[in-house]
Amino acid sequence: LSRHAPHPVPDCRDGDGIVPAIPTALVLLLLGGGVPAPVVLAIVAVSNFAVFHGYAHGTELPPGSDAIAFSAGFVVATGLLHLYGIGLGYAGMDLAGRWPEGPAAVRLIGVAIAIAD
Amino acid sequence: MGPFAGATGFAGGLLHPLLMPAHLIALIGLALVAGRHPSWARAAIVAAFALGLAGGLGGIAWGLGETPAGDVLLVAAVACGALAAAGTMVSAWLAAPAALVCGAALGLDSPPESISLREAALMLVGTGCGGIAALAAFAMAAGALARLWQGVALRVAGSWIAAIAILVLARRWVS
Repeated sequence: LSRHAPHPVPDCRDGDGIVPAIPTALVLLLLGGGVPAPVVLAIVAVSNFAVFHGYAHGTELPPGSDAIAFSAGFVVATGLLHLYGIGLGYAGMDLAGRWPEGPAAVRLIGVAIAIAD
Repeated sequence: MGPFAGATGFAGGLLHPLLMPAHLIALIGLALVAGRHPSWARAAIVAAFALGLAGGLGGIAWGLGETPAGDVLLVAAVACGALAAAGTMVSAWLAAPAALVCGAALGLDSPPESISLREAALMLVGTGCGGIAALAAFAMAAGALARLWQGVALRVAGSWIAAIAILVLARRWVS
């Protein structure tokens, strides 16, 4: 995964980020439009993002450092961010009926991230 | 061996599988697979692991040199984590040989650093006991988690284990 080795995937941080961004942006735009993304599209977006996310951060590991500690920290931190996002999504569903603006707020967040993507 | 300063001999060996991250993720991954089985199959998987571990530690005691045991453990972690993430229950006839290989790899990847023969022997025995006890405890815990959200949490844990092991293997094999 060295930056000097032949790259198995396009470098996500040097302008080739369009590949991982498209499905994610599509899901987020659907979310923004209030349309639930089809499960297949969501799976493609998530797994596609995971490959590029893992690759981008895998290249950041300094040579000689503890690969497993870095990987464990990276995976756990990513997972906790997922949990945070899932929590936001549930909050947006307004299951308890205590946050009527929730769905609109989550849709707005979806559009904002899609545009930033 | 000594990943835990101050713990040597039997105690150091006992803690070794829990303090070596590669060993720990392989143990948890295997436990997630074992936990999906009924108790008799779970016991068979732990027994197969114990047999493999005894063989691996025996190999170390007999002076076996460097082996790719560390990579084998990570590959096992990937396989077990992926199976757990997919929610697939593999046959005990397949899981037991996998546990045997996993045990052997864990044993072979646990050479004691002690220069005293007695201390080294105690560490090997401790590693054996610690590995078996940890796998049995993790598998029992995984088997006891039967609620829907707990099942989801176990599958998430499996995916994390597979991801960690894949990242480490990718680093090792590419660099």
